[in-house]
Amino acid sequence: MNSWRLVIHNACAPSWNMAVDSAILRLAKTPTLRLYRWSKPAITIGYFQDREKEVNGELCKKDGIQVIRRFTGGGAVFHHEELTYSLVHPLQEAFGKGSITDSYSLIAQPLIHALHILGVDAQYRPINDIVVGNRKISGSAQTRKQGKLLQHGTILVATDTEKMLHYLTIDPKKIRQEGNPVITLSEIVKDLSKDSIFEQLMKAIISSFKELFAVDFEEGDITLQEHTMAIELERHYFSNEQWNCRRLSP
Amino acid sequence: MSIHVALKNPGEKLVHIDVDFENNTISFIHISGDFFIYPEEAIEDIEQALLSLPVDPNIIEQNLLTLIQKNTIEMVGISVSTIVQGIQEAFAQS
Repeated sequence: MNSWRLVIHNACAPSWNMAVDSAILRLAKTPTLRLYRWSKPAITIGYFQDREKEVNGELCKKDGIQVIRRFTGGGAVFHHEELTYSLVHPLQEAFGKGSITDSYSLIAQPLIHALHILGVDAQYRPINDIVVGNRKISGSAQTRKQGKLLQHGTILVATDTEKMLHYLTIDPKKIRQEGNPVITLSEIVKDLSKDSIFEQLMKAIISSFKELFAVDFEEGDITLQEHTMAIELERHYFSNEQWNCRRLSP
Repeated sequence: MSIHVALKNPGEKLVHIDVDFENNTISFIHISGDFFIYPEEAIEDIEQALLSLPVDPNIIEQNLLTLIQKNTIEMVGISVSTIVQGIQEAFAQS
């Protein structure tokens, strides 16, 4: 049975969250699953997105919502009352086989399994979403560097989706149906408090990764080298307006 | 002033193309959206390769396919045909 590192971080600053994921991708020696939350609401935009096209900049500025460019592609995300995961794994075994889309499907499986444990009828929707009915509950983004993949994504727990729709500019071409395009766990799992949902979801994700990928977890923190790298990356990129406003190669 | 076109083709992500033309060639292009390109930095090479090309779909497609093959670029949620389509649509508006 393979041994993976499990890193659990409670609420961290938005730019630090992105910096830590990036540092783990660059330096991790073993597969690492990180579960984390956000100390304050923030928006991340995909590597290829233009901030002015995706975000209501004036409203974000007024409400103090930081907008950070990720080093992964994909869409804009409003991070608020969600659980975020990141997985770093060498491009080996099942993670090195098939297409990139296949690997999105593969990594979605333990997340879907975890949602099933909570009684949520979730399904994978290509390329990178998990949905309940037609409504999105989870989205992910993946990058590949130095023979490793990093995939990070969200599971909406009690996200204020009204606010989300105010902060994000959703192009009419992307709207698939009438009504709210997203759904949160709090809307579905009504017999648990928000804190209990976070706790149960985290346990379910860990047990699902263990079961589906036949791994053991060793819980730990990031290394000193990863921490030092994250400080550098946060300063150079994720808290740097130049990076967040336009594309630069990391 | 560049021309903006947004495309959402079936099975793909939303692709924005901002493009400008001079003498029937591409003088400026910026491609953005919620797609994925691996490696990410290849977007700069793609945009660079399109500069100065005539607005001929066959020439644009061939140049992009050659670049993608040579540099082992993978595209997810965006395709060469969508980029060509976007440039054609923008040119029609110019």
